[in-house]
Amino acid sequence: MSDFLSTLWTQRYMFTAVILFCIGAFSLVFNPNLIKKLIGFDLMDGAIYMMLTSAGYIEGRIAPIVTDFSATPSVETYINPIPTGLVLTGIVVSVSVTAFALALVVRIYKKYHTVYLDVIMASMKKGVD
Amino acid sequence: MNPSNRNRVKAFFDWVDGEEWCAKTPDEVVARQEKKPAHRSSNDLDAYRRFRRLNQAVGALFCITLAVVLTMVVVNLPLFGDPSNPTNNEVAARYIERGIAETGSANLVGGMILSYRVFDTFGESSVLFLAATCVTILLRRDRKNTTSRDLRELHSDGLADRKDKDIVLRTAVLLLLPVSVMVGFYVMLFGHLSPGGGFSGGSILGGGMILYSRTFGSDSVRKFFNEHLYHLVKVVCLMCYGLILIYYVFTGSNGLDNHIWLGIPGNIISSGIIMPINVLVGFEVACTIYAFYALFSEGEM
Amino acid sequence: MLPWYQHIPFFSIVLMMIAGIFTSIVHRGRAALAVHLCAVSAVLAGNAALFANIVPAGETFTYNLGIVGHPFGNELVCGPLEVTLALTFLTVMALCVLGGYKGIFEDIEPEKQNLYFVMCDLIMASLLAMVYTNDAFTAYVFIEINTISACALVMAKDSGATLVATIRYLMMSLLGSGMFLMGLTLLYHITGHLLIIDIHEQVVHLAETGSYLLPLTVVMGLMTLGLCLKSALFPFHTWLPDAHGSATTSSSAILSGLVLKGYIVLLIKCIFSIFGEHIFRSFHVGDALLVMGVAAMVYGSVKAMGETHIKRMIAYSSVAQIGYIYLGFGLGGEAAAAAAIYQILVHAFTKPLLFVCAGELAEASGHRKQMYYLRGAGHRAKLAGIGFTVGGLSMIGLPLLGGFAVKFFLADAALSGSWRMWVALGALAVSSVLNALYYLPAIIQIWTIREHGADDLPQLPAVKPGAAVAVSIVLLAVGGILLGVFCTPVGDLISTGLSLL
Repeated sequence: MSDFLSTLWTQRYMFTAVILFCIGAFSLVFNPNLIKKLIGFDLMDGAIYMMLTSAGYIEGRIAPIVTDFSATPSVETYINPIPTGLVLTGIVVSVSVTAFALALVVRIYKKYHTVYLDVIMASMKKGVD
Repeated sequence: MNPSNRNRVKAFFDWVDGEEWCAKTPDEVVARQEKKPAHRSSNDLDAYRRFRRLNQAVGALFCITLAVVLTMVVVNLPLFGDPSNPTNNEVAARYIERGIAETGSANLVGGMILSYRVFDTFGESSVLFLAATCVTILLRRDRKNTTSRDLRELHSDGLADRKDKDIVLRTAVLLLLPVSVMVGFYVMLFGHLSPGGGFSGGSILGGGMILYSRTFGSDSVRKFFNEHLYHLVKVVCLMCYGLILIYYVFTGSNGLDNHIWLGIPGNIISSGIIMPINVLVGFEVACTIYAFYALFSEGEM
Repeated sequence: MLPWYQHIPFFSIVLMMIAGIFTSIVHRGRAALAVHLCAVSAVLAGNAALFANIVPAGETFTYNLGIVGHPFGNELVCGPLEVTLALTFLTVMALCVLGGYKGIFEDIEPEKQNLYFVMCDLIMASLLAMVYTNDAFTAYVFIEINTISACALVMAKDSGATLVATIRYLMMSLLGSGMFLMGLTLLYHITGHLLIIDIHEQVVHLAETGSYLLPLTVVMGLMTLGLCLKSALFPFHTWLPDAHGSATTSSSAILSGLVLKGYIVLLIKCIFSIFGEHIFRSFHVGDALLVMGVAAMVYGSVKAMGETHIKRMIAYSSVAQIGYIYLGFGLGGEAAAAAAIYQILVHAFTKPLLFVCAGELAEASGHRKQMYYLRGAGHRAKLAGIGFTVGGLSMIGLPLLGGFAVKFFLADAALSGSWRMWVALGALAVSSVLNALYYLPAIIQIWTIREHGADDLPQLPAVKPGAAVAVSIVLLAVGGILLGVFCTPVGDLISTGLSLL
């Protein structure tokens, strides 16, 4: 048990990330409020980026930005640059998706005057186009 | 807990939820659509809340299961911060050791995503372009999505904007604006030497434009940045980026020398294609961020 | 220097993306359509040349996107299977747009019509990228491009129903891509690679040494689940009927014919290239797919029987047809997977055919899509009626049509003697009967001659289809029939491609 807990402590960033991921997924799927669904989505993506970043971290090394050009950079100095790069790419994607989804919510709110998806669906069944 | 207290607690939670002003029953939505007066029965709304709670209880069960499984996974993953993890393999080593020699960029992350993985990054810029296009489809004013009431509201807002003579705000923005533009350009132009790059620089620049538009009215932005210019900048930047990508990949895959001058690492004019791409992406992002703001707030550029 | 044809996959993707970017400043809808068709035909010609160059030799190559070689950068991979899928997707894309172009210009505001074609271009680019990519993260980026542009296609009509359908589709898709990305992150963490070939090597190594087995299982689950969500496998199909049923004709055709298939192609890559079929099966993910596929085949058909709205009926039929594909993956083995891929091709031709014809038939019935109003529509729009009949009969599984070939291949692959055989054969039989139970009444309904004054329907004039629509219907129908007649050579081609994957 203490083994488990100490590993969990070492992995605390990833542990936080998966918990956030689950909260985000919960909100995305089961919250009827469209805005909260989107918050859930951003939380979920943020958790994934946290996971990726922590996958690239190496104890005691620094960010991969070279300032000393006299020697070939050594692997021992810098953390792994790949996950950071993936996070950069991923962030742009989630910003774009969020903007698009918010625009949709704006239009839906203009039409139905509510952001609750279940209410909208029920009212559509009752005969609103 | 007595009933009135309970109601107050409930009202507080509704307020925190933001539910108070937007809670509606389907009947109300239908009535509003048909322009009839609606009467709310609170029972109906409560039935919905009960249904939602049930739904969420089931969902919570699923998510807790998922969380437990993922926690087990996390415990079994390679340890945090360990140099011998599988991720620290020859690929990462090459990016660090030969990154400067092959891309010319001191910012190894920026160098990596704009040279070794430039195809991904072009895809990512296209996602942003795509989102801007979708927001345009949805929010740009046309026959379907605008009523005369919207236009009236917008008009009165616009007037209020221009008459905003608050001296504190205007002075503060005038002081802030040059700084934000400068920082934006700095982050863009030094993306290959320091943390930053096209996307972050462009966002700062776009933020500056939003600030300006908010204070001095969107008409004053239109004097130097209108829809035509927006389309032009966006398309030209992405096209140039695409052409650079094609040249780079075509020569690279053929194993030809691409004659791109990498310069001396650490100088501002260095790093081959990375600085130009950073600038191009930066302009595209600045335009797009401002376009998001303009479309959301007014439905036009 | 590389042989010239090896550059085609990369140039196809980039050309479609640049066409999309350029289209956003073409302000007239028809000019945008022209740009789209030119780009698609150019890419189609290129891919045909690629096909002619690599298929006879059974050649596979990887194409390095960057300055240094493998494994330091993005990569594309191309073999017979990839190029066949790309050719099919390109052809169907052009035909879908042609077949629904009237609807596009009617349903969308004039100043926004060009943006519709931006979405079409980028969907095509993302589909090509998903077919050709050899890098798992590139796959993710293009999944997102595909998601956003597919949602834009749904909402293009801009009515309340399509907006709500879009947001439901978007939420489901976001969950799917989130799961896929989480899986990918974990996979990267335990293998340290993003290129599919290298991941595969590492996965085989992990499976042999037995390390990180739990993470590997969860990764498989998450990635498969994410792609299932996005391709509307049975319990996750709830968004599909609304999205496909309410969108404009060519959107429905593109979404059901192509977009769903893109994710399934990625799933093929996951199963066969990333994890390897053997490892994938040993973790029993395939059995879950089998069960869900069978459930989808039955459930989709049952729901379709209850629908009176013709487009929603066809959409529910898509749920069932997706079930066939997953049945193929669930059965396991090369033959079953080849049958599933065959179903991808057949469905890519047949479902757009049905949607285009349904759009035409509805137009001939005063734009009403309820079955009741469609009576006799086949006589008013003859070509669409014939097309709908061909498509419907193919779905039922009449010999010499594409659908029969699929059922035959699936049944043939199922003959292994395990419990899976009985499940698969039973599902195929039940689903064929169910398909007949809703397609035959629909076909009979559209060919029933209306007796004058026998019902309260107004008499409507016959409609002549436009040239573009006629071309689209004829070519889609011919495609479906060819796939039925020449099932052996195409099946062999797929098997070869699959073994080279």
